[in-house]
Amino acid sequence: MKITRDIHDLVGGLLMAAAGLYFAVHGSQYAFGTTARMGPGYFPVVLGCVLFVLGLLVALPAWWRRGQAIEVQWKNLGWSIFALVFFAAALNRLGVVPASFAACLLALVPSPMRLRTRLVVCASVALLTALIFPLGLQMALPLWPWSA
Amino acid sequence: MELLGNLWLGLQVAGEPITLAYCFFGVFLGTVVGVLPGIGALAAISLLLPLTYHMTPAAAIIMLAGVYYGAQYGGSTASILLNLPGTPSSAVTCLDGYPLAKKGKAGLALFVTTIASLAGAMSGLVLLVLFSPLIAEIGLKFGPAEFFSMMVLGLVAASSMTAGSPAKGLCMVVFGLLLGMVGTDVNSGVARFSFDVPELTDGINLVALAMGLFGVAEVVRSINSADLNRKLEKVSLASMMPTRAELKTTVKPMARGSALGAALGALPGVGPSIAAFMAYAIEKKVAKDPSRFGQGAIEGITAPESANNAAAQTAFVPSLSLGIPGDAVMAIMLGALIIHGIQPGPMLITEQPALFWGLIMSFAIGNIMLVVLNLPTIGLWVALLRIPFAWMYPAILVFVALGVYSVNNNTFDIYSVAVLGVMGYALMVLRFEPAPLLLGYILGPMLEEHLRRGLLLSRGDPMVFVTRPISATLLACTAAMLMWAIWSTVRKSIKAKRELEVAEQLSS
Repeated sequence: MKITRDIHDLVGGLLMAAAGLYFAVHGSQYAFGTTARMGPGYFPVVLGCVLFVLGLLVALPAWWRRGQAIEVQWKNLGWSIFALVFFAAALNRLGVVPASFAACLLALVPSPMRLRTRLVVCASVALLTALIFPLGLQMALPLWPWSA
Repeated sequence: MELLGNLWLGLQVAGEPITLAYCFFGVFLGTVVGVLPGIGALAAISLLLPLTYHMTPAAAIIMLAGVYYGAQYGGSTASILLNLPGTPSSAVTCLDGYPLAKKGKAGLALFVTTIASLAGAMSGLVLLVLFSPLIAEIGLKFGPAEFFSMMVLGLVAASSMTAGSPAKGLCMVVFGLLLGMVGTDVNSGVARFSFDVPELTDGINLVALAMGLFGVAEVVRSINSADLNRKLEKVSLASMMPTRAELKTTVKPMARGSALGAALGALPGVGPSIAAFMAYAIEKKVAKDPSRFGQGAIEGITAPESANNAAAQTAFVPSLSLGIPGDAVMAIMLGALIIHGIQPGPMLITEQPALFWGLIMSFAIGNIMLVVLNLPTIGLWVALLRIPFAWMYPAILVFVALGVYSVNNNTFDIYSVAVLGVMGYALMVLRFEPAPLLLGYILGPMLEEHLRRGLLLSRGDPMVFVTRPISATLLACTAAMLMWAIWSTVRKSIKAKRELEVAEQLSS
């Protein structure tokens, strides 16, 4: 194993500290109030500061620790998220059946599947989705582009 | 007898055919997600949450609870047959369950865990029946200070007892509390952190957050890893029957596991996973020959399985009687009640007796259903384990999207799932536990409210939290837990630093 610093905690801790700082700074634009009568800014600012300190507490000791490299499955993440975003954009324009078929195709990109199986899986997902949501649960959604 | 009357009332509610059907659907689905590694009870419950909007509150909560404890049963199946825990709390079952399966005793192991699960659940149930009303009565004397301290205790317990480091858990809790701040402040009407997005003035959607953190993140991680196209041996009913001697060795571990799990589960922040791990550790301590553990000791599966099922039942004690969820699943469950306009808290038992006792009786019915469902249909579960994950995850993604859309009929929520999914995956990659985050998110607004009220009543004097005895006791427990967490972290990091120095010397 290659010896590296504990990057997981280093990165994660710094991200948390940054988030804390952001909440504290952004929260200070709301009225702070007093301890007896807290304004809307009181709790977020205090918690933001706490998170900032906690993030540093996670990050600093990680510098003296051994760890492994971070592994990110970029392809899986990218295509899954793209599938969700595409589905959201297409849902009311194309209708449930085409939108879920296409989203399913996009989600399956990183998977090593034969083309025929792929199409069968997508068609089944589209069918099931149409049966469960608009038909079974009576959700008001267009099924096809021409019914939109 | 008041208790008998209550139980009878519960039986009437839980025994209605439509409720029975929802209960069955819940435990069935729970078993499915428990068996399949990669989708946890949390993901399944968040997926079902939008569906419950069209049900009665009792049916909704009975179904969601069924998923929760059903998953505890199913979780052991994958642990024993594949050495892959279906749920985090059945990870311990792998240690001795898989060696038993390799010895050709998979059937026996499956039978014993099912019985142990039932025994655990039933003892947890008894505790729940006896203590919930009692705790609720105490809860009625709670003021804002006590509620605040109790929540702090729950949050600290949940974060410092997770698998990772306590500091990371605390980070997650505080981050969750801050995410809970998004939306309109009830006291002043100011929209906080909403970036002038109208949808965000109602806060971050609970369903979107839960699905992003648990559904999407799990799917992304499991796309390549969870392919289970392995050879699985057939399990026959006849192979499940234990001999008299084997049965005898399981009784005591079952009793110990049940008692431990039931007691631990009732504490806020201690979930089924911790109960299972502790039960295993105790069995190893009391065993005459500890070396058998890890090589197929039957006590090594009975005690943890009864413990995690007992804990899954008693986890409802603080949630229902005080309105303070002990873990992330309970938090979602309370979220579901709030959506239905029911305020969880000490008044719940007296104001909604049909709901409370109906839920309790449904536990008894559901657990018996699970035994009937699990034993004869084991072949079905084994077959389920052969389905490649690639056939399922596109459907999961589409269902997640439509499920969250159905809450407000707004595509904004699907986009939030996408964003929160990236966040959830990042947390998973960086090894931050997302469950405390969800707990913080749910408790955030309540915590702020009680803190404000407490300090308003004391005119800004923070001493109110330490001068009231119950509140002071709770805070003292919290402080002790924090000290212990700090101490163990410091010890660990000194050790790690020494290791790094040694390693660098060796490599140079």
